[in-house]
Amino acid sequence: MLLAENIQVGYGSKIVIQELNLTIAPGQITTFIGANGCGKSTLLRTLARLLKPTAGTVLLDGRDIFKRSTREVAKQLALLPQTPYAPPEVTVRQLVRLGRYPHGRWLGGWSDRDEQAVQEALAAMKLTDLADQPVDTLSGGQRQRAWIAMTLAQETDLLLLDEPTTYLDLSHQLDILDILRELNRRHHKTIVMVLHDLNLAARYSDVMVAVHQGTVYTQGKPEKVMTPETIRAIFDVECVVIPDPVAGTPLCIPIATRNHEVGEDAGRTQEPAQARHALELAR
Amino acid sequence: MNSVRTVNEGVLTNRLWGKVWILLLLFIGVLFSALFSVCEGLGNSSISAILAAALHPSGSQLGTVLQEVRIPRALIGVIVGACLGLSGVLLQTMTRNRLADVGIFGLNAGASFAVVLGISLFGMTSVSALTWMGLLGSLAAGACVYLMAVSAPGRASPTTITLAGAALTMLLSSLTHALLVLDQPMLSQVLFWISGSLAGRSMHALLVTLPFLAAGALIAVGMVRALALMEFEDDVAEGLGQRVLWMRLAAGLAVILLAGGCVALAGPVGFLGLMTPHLGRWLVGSSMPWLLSYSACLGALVLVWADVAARTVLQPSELPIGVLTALIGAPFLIHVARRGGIRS
Ligand SMILES: Nc1ncnc2c1ncn2[C@@H]1O[C@H](COP(=O)(O)OP(=O)(O)O)[C@@H](O)[C@H]1O
Ligand SMILES: [Mg+2]
Repeated sequence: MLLAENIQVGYGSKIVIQELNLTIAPGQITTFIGANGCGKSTLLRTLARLLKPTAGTVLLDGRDIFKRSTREVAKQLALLPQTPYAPPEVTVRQLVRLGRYPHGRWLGGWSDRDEQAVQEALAAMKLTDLADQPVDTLSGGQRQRAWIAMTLAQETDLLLLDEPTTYLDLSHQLDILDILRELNRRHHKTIVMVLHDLNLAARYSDVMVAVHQGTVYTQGKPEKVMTPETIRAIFDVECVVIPDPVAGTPLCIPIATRNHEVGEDAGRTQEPAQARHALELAR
Repeated sequence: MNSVRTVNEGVLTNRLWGKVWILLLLFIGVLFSALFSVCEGLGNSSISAILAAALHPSGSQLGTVLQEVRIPRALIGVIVGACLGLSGVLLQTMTRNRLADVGIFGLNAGASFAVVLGISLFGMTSVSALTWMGLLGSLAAGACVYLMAVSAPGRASPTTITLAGAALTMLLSSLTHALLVLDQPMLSQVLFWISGSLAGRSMHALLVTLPFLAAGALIAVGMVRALALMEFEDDVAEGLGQRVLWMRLAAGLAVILLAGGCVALAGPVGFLGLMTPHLGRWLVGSSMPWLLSYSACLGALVLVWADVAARTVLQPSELPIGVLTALIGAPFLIHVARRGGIRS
């Protein structure tokens, strides 16, 4: 339903993404992983029609996304940017109501359908009691839920989220990811997101996409993507991968960055030995 | 439900009727103030005599004063105040800068430069000729800022607009000062205009600028829905289906038309465009249709009273109106700031 065909994307003369092909599987949770600055946000923004590729196309339901209006696309695909900002007075309700923007007419008017969508989004994110609070007085987890509620009010099949769990503590990360899984399983939303926590990514995703230097290094089920070889290639980190004792999904235990190995001090002799030891333990 | 109410959502709670009533009250207040401004200081003429003279101005001295001086003055005060209120909201929203005043687009500097040029180079003296010069100057300056911002990469970002405006303002102000220093006698002539005043503005000057002001106001009203999204970052707005660049251009055009028309009419009136959006937000929060209408009414109210004060406090001499908008507005603004109603 959403696919990128051989795209090249950049800012000005700087090329960030090159020769990238990607198909987003409908009804699944797809997670991008990759080092800082490798182009994950750029890719997500391109898929959401915010950046126009200099070559190749993005197709949504078989049609070129850049030949359709912003508003039309916004009815099918919702985007949550990385740590978005809300002006100080904006309340949760006002924020969620913005989700109805693409469905509205020129001068406004508020239909029952709009109101219902807003109420449902608030309820789904357990925000009904906080609806009249200004967004910037909420805790990090509540704030992120408010933003997700806004994208829910958009009533799209596709949800694109850039690092929805960054800056949240562990319990709130799990909270957000459980909510997203629920949206996927119960409301059949197709979810595409960027996560930094590899182990949570492996646990919650159907498909993982390893992005490296602006292109897809490998993609597939977490078991296929979360291998020591892939982690070494995209993060430059030595690790062992064992089954997650809780979920059974791959669990990555980092050992050392490879930079240390070539360092001048004791690390040089120590760390490969440690690594070997850890590997033996893992087996 | 029982959530803590904070100043952020505006003191007039969320109840619809409260906002409607206060708006109605403000509107009546504007009408009353305009009427007071017309009648004030007309000696011992009774209200009925003034009304009769206003309706049938032919001949009588009172009628002429009303028609030539008082009515245009009050009308211009209301219109300029309302338009500055509107453009302040537009500008602070589109630049995402709550400290932005309409001077930021270089409009005031452009208008002042053009007026000084008109007087010194072309020997213009009539108010309507200077109104045209002011209008051309502010529109040209606005267009310059606009083009600079659009040609820079990054979709005319708020920062680019602000920087371009600041740069042009500096350039034009120093040119204006240079002209004034070279031609000292002109200074006294220009001063009445350059410090902002409603004195001696004719109905004709109003008619010259009215189409520009009306066009700006129409754009502002047409953008009400889009404006709500403009304080959010581009990715959020675009992700919700807004054509960000076009909306920013439209809002910029509206600001230039509104504030440019105002500065041509009344000279640079300081502080009003900065202050009224804050007062409005303090009352009704940031919900756009309300904020625009409240700011327009508050702007009109403050400017009319500032004008009344400007001509009465030190009679017979007149004070620059910007001094009085600041004197009237600053206490409110400080109050709002202390209550936590202003956050950047
Ligand atoms: N607006 C921009 N202008 C110029 N370069 C950018 C911009 N945004 C990102 N980049 C560059 O593009 C590259 C990829 O950035 P990004 O997609 O944000 O990476 P990630 O999200 O994977 O950390 C980085 O090198 C970054 O410096
Ligand atoms: Mg990123």
